[in-house]
Amino acid sequence: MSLVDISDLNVTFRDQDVGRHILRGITLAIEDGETFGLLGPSGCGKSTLLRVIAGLNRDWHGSMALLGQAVAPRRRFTGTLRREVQMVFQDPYASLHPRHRIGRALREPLVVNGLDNPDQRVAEALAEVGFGPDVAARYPHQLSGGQRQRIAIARALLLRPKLLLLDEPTSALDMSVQAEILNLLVTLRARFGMTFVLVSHDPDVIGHMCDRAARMAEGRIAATFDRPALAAGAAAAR
Amino acid sequence: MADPTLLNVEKLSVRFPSDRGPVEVVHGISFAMGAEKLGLVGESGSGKSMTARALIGLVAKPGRVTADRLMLDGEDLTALTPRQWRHWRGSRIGLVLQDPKFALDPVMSIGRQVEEPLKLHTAAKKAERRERALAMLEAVGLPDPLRAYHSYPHQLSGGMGQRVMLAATLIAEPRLLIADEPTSALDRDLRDQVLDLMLKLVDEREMGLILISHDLDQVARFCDRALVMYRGDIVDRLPASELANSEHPYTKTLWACRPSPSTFGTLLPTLDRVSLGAGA
Amino acid sequence: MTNLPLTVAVAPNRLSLASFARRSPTAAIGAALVVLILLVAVFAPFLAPYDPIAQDVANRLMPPSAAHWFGTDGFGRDLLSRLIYGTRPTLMLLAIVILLTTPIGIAIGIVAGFYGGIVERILMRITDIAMAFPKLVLALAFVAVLGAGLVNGALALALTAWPAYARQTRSETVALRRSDYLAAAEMMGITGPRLLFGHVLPLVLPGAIVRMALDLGGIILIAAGLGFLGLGVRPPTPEWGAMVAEGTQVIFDQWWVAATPGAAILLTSFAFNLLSDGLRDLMDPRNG
Repeated sequence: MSLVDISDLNVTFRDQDVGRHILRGITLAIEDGETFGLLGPSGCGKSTLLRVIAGLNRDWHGSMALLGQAVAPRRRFTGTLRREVQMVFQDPYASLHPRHRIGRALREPLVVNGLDNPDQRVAEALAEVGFGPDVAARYPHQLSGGQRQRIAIARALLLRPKLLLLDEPTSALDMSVQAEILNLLVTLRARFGMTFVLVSHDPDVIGHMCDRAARMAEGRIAATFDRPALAAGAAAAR
Repeated sequence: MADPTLLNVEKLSVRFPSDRGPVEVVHGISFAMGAEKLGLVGESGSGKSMTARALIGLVAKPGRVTADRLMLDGEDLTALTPRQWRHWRGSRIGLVLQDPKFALDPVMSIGRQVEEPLKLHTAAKKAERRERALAMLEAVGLPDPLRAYHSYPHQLSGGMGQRVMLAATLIAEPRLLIADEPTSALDRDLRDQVLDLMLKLVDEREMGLILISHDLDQVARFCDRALVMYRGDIVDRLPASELANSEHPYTKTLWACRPSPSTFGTLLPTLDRVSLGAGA
Repeated sequence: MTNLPLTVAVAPNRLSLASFARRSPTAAIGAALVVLILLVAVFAPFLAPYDPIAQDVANRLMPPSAAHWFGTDGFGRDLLSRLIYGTRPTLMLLAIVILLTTPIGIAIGIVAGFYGGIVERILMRITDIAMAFPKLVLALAFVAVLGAGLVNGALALALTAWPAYARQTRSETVALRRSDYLAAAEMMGITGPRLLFGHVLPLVLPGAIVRMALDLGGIILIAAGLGFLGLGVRPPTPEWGAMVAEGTQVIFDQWWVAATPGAAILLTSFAFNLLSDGLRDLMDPRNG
């Protein structure tokens, strides 16, 4: 049973009276424990697909099953499903609330989801990404881009997701910081046994991180690559 | 490397005031170049862009630029008045930036914008300006120069926008071209094309080129020499083709930390910031 | 993964007043003036040299002197004391307006902007209707029906002032709906009031505060207008607008009777405008 099972998924956008297809007939299956990449030029629909899987974009047609249960469109994710599917966003400047201290940003999801020992879990989460507990008192603007992304990763892991969605997690970062973040992701993936879906425009990042990948173009899946293909550089080829 | 020194920089510093006292973003760097292609490599905070701005006199107050020596083609740049700088910028030094969207005036036609440096810095008459602009648009590889001449920036795609930027920058025949991340905003396939064009034009005109980039691979392929900057200092100087083999810990790690299909399953080398003196 | 030290020099957590003043002298001056006026209102009994309603007809319309720094009015009352006590009705009215207007306007704006659809349409149409009423005319109507008095005037002003906040807050909320802050919160299962008040409100509040400071400058003028028309507090309670009205009768010979309350109105309005300008400067570039 695949962890993510999508069949004939369509997303259209109504602009005045013209319907535009953002995603057309997407069919794919992602297995438990694998890291699946989505790449393609801007506008190809990869981020939209990720947001559909995340439950953020609920305006779709087709069928989707996540973690073994069928998902209906237009319904918010609740309960276990909501906890077990999490996301790391592209811009660390835009996904951490500028007016919330780090400690609050990390405590809130625990409190809302009724998890015990929030303070201890927050300290553990910070340690998992390489911070001491003192950073909890800081505001996001006091941290660098790479540090913010670490916090975003820590936050995404708080609810112990089975499926982690990553939307260009290192595009906004310097090369050396990107290396640190990719290493962190790889380490945590192994420790917690997560499945990743990684969106990136950079074929090198896809080639480094992913077991399989799909190239998208104009809302469709144009090609899929397995590991041997990725190793041979298929992601970068035109 | 060409012999006559085009640009001579000694102890260039750029300082900004802050709540905690003056902060030096460029720490007294020195380098020289001839009519060659010099790559300036570094990450954010390295000071590479600030260096470029200092060379073209665009460090805005309250920033301060100081240098023991800053000479272009034998002229002392530190002695220039703002009026003289206005003439220099465009006619002696050209600057190409990352995103043509923000550099081109959206309500002026391409032709007028390409001609503008001629209008400002030369005595060329209308007919001559038009002719030279069209020649320049052709030289940068636009398939229909006349059509482009009458177009507006929003009608151009990203790659074409950069070509127009190049045309406008090179038309007044500067001696030195500074390109600050000229291809970062472009799709990957366009990047090499634009750089090839830039190099061709620079070679034809026997100009100097400073290419600022965070992409080491790009610098290794397109430049003659490379300067690696880290937190305001030049930490490594070497032929660009040798970037892959540098022994300097920063350059070495920067080269090796890039992901690729062949690094699958491994942990990438990372910077040991403490030992590099990052501190607090 | 080893414990990495925080390698970035982290800025201190709280801004000191000194850096606040340095960043925007305008805000600092405005704030100082507003605080001064507030203190005058609070400590009026200690600051005023005379009883503001004590009449001394023998000394009416005296020019400024050592005994009466701003002179006396038509009933021989000390102008300085009346000015000092006059801060109270003005600030009281402002307080009522702020307390009623901003929370209602912001709440409506956030709910409309966040939920969209039919909710947004209904709320925005109500807002449009309320916005169509001219402030002063409505205030006159209220007072005509309910009788003169500070509270009635304030109510009328409050009823016409909230729409602007609702509109501004709504459009800011709509822009925020697409943001990653809210998407990230949703991923965590944060919804409903917690999301609106904990996440959206802190982001729309700065804009509302800037607007409020600016509005107050204008409301002071309208309040003075009401007082001028005799629709504010009942005499002999000192109120600047009413004082200006009294002073117009003797304006050519005893100009100070009208000029001093006029100057007070000007200064207070100006203080709020400065504060608003400065706050706008402070809020914008620092963010993010």
